[in-house]
Amino acid sequence: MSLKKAVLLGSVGWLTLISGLHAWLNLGLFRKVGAHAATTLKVGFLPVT
Amino acid sequence: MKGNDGFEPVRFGGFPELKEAFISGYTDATFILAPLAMKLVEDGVPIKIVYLGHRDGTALMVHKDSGIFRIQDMKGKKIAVPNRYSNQRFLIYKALKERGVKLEEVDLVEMPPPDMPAALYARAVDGITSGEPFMGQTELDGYGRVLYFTKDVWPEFISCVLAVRQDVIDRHREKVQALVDGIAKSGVWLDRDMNNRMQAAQFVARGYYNQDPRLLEFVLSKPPDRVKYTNLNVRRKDFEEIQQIGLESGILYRKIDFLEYADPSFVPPTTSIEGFTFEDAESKEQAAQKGLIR
Repeated sequence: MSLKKAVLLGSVGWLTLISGLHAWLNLGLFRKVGAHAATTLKVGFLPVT
Repeated sequence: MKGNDGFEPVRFGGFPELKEAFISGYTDATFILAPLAMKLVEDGVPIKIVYLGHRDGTALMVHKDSGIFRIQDMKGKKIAVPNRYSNQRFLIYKALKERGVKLEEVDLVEMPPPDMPAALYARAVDGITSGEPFMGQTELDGYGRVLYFTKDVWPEFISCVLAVRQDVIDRHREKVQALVDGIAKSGVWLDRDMNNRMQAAQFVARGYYNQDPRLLEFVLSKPPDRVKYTNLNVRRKDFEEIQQIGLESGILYRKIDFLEYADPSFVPPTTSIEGFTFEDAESKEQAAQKGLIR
């Protein structure tokens, strides 16, 4: 495999990986949706009155 | 730590990160400073205030060796507040205005509440104001002195409220109602008997706050009305007063209707709230060994 091809494939692969992670973690894609999703409510708090 | 019955508590160290997690959807609901919740709605974030977390439970502490003995003595001093969108800041504005002092004559700095005791100890600031138990910690450790309890300056003071994202209300109304009902019942249980508060101090300190139980024992009892957990209704009058102060002090920019930022439909009728019948054997034993439970 030529260097140019390797760099191109690596870049596409890295971009795909990062984009997928971003979509999953930050945009909520690939998560369950619908009535069965999010049956647990996350409630934020600070340990202060 | 995983919660029970479909709720998971998520602890944060400061209000900025708590706010960002809420806006991004990482948390579905959150206890948040009342003016900060109103500011989010002003900025177009679709959330609603559905209940209160407590009433009172805030103080302004100064170093015991400071020359600050009256509210007007704060002129020219550096005072730490949890956030610019906090009722603690609003209260300082209100109290100073009543005494003819402008807010600009006090140097306010924003600081996460957990960092405040150390800042006061090191005299990096002249005063700190936030919720408990961080104010009580300075008193218990001998270097803090109460300048005022908010309960004495602004009775029925509101600090934190329970805010829920609108999409969560729309999709999981019954769970939001269950959450509010649980808070209401817990509050009745806490305020019914000091023994219940001492029991709660044990398991909340270790299981949720990661703090020394003696801190919670102190702030839940000295004085007994330092913080209250009943009368947590979302009332128009209370929030319109907060909004008015926010507009006057330049923190909020436009008047928005109460029902744009609040949804009082979840508030259970006060007369129908029955406190939990709850007892944690281990916590009760720990409190009894310390002589806190009679």
